[in-house]
Amino acid sequence: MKGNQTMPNTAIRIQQFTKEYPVPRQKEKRVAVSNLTLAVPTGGLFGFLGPNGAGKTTTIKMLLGFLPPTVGEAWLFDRPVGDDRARQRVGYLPEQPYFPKFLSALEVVKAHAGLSGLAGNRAKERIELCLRQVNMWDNRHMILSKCSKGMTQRVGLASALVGDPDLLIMDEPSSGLDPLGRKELRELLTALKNDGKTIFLSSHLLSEMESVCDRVGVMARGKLVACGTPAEITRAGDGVRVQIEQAERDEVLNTQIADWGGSVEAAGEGSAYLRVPSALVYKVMGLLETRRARLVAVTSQRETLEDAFLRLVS
Amino acid sequence: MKQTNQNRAPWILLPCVLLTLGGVTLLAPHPAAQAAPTQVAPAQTAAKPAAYDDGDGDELLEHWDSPRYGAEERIQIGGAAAGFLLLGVVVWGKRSRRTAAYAGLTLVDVSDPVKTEFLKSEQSVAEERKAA
Amino acid sequence: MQALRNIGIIGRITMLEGARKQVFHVLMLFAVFLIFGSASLAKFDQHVQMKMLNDLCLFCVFLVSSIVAITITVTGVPGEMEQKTVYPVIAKPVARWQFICGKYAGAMGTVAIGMAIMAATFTFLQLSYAGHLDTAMFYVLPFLYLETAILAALALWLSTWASWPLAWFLSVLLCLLGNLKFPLYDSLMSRPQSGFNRVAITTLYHLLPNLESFNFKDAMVHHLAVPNAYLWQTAAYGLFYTAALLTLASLTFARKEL
Repeated sequence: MKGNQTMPNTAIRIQQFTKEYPVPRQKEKRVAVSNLTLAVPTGGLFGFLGPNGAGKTTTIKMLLGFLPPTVGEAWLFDRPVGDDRARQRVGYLPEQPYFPKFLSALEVVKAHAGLSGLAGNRAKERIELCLRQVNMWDNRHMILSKCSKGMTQRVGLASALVGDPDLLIMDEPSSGLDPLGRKELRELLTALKNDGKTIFLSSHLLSEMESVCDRVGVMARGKLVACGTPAEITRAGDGVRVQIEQAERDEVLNTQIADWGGSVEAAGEGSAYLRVPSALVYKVMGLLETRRARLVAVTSQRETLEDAFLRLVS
Repeated sequence: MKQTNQNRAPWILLPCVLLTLGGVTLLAPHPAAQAAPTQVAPAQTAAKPAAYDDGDGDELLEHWDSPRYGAEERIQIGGAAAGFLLLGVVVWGKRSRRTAAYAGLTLVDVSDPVKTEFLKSEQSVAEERKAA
Repeated sequence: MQALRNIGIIGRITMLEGARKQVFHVLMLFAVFLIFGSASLAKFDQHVQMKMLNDLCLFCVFLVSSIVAITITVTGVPGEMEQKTVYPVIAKPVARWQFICGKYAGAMGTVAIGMAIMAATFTFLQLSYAGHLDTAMFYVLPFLYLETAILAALALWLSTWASWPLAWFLSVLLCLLGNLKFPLYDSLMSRPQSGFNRVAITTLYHLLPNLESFNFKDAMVHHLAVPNAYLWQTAAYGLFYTAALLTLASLTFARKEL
C-alpha cells in the first residue's frame, strides 16, 4: 500500500494555529500558541526550538489530534489532522514515553506494530529491526518496570519507528539519555534522514540540534520568531577572535588593534582576546610576531545557534 | 478521498437501519409470547407454572410475568435505535460536508502573498532535496 | 478489520492490567470465601439448603462482578490519561472510539475471568451438595454478565467526563436506582407532584437502565419458567443499552482534550 502512495512535498503544513486556554475566574485567555503558520518539507530534519512554555508541545499535541486548535488547521501529508488516517504515516515519541509497566519491551513494540497495521512476518521483521536499531534487542524480554529511564526512551523510540513512518515527530527525544545514548540517537537520526524520512524534532538542546538539523523553527511565547536553515538564522559576523599570551600588557599592540577597528579584552594573567575584522587576520599575525606575543587560537566570530536562539527569544 | 467516503456511507447507515428495524420488531406485540405466555426456557430443569408460589412472596417481584417490564424494555430499545439512526445521519452528513470541503481545497491562501511565498519556498526546498 | 485489531490489542493489554490489579485479587478471594461461607451458613434440609446456596451464591456473583466491573472501568480511561500511556496509542492511526471500545472490552474480559472463577466455585459446591448441576445457571449467569456489561459501559461513560471517584459513586448510585427503578417510580408518582416534576421523573425513569430485568436469580432458586421471548428481548435490550452508552462514551472522549 505504501509503495502506491505518492509523497507530497510537504510533510507538515500548519495554517494559523492558535490555542487558547481559559484562565479560571478571568476573562482573558492564556494563549499557548498564536497564529502559527509553518510548512515542513518532506525529507530532512526540522528542529522545533524554543524555551520551556514556548508552545512546542502544544503544537505537537494539536498536530497529533490530542488537542483541537482554537483557530487554524493543519495537514500531515495533505491529510487534515482531524482525520485519524493522517497519523498512518507518522511515528511519535513523547518527551517521556509511558507504557504499562508490566509489559516487556518486546510486547510494547509488538502492540505498537499491531496498532500501526503490521502483521505476520513483516511485523516480526520490523520489531526485530527497530529493537536492534535502538540497542534493546538483547533486553527485549525485560519488563518495563525494571528498565531505566534511558531504556524506556529506547523502547519508546522503537515503538515510534516500528510502523516504518515517513514522518517522525519527537518531543525532546534525548531528555532521558546519557551522553552515549545521545550520540547513538544522533547517528540514528542521521541514518533515518538519509533514508528519506522526515523528522520533526522539538528540543532545547541547541548544540545537538545545530549539528543534525537541516532547518529550524524558533518559537517564543507561542509565536514562531524565525524559520530557516541554521545558517540563515545565525548571524554570520564579520570577525575573528584571537587568543594570545604575552609577558606583560603591550600598549602599542592595543593601540594598533584599536586603530584597525578591533578590541582587546584581558582574559586573566598574561592572556588576552583580540577581536578583529577577519580581513585583517594576516596583518594581526604580523603584528603579533613583531610584538613577540604568542598566538594560542584563532576562532570564527560566527554566531552559534545557541547565541541566535538567545537573541531571538530574549 | 471523496469516493471512498461515499462508498462507506451504506456501511454506516445499514447497521442503523437494521437496528431500527430490530427495535420496531421488538416494539410490536410478540405473537409467540401472547399465544404461549408460559413457554419455558430451554435451560429449565423443572417446568412449573409461571406463578408458582412457594410461600416466600417472591412471585410478586418476578418481572418476566409483568407486561410493564417488557413494555419499558421495548420503549428503551426503540429510543436507542432512534438515537443510532439520528447519529448515523449526522455522521454521514458531516463526512459528506467534509469531503466536499476538502475535494477542491486550496491549502494555501493565495490572496496572502507573504504566506504564499513562505510556503512556496518551503516546497522548493523539498523539490531541490528530491532532485539531489 | 484494522479497527477490530486495534480494539483487540488495547483490550488485551487492559485485561492483563485489570487481572493484575490488587483490588481484583482481593475481591476474588472475598467472593470465593463468601461462596464457600454461604454453604456452611445454610444448615437446613437439602431442598432449602440448595435454595439458600443458590440465592447467596448468585447474589455474591452479582455483587462482586458489579464492583469489579465498575472499579476497573471507572479507573481505566482516567488512569491512562494520568499515567500518559494514552499518548503513544492515540498517536497511532487509532480512532478515539476504538480506544474506548478496547478499554471496555478489556474491562469486560477481566470481569469474565472473575465470573469464571466464581462460577467454577459455585459449580463445585452445587456438585458437592446436590450431586448435579442446575442447567438454569447457563442462562442466569450470562444475564448477570450482561447486567455488569451495562454497569461497566455506564461507568466508562461517566469516567470520560467526571473524576474517577465521582464516576464510581455515580455508577454505584445508578446501579441501585436501576435495580429499584419500578418501585421508586411508583412511590414518587403516588405522591402529588407538579407537572414539571412529573415530566422530569418520567424522563429519568425512561433513561435509567432497567437492571432488574437481568435478574433471573429467582427462576433458578425456585425453578420458575421464563418465557423464551422475554429472554431474547432482554438480551437485545442489554446489547442496545450497552451500545448506546458506549456510543455516548466515544462521543464524549472524542471531544476530550488530552
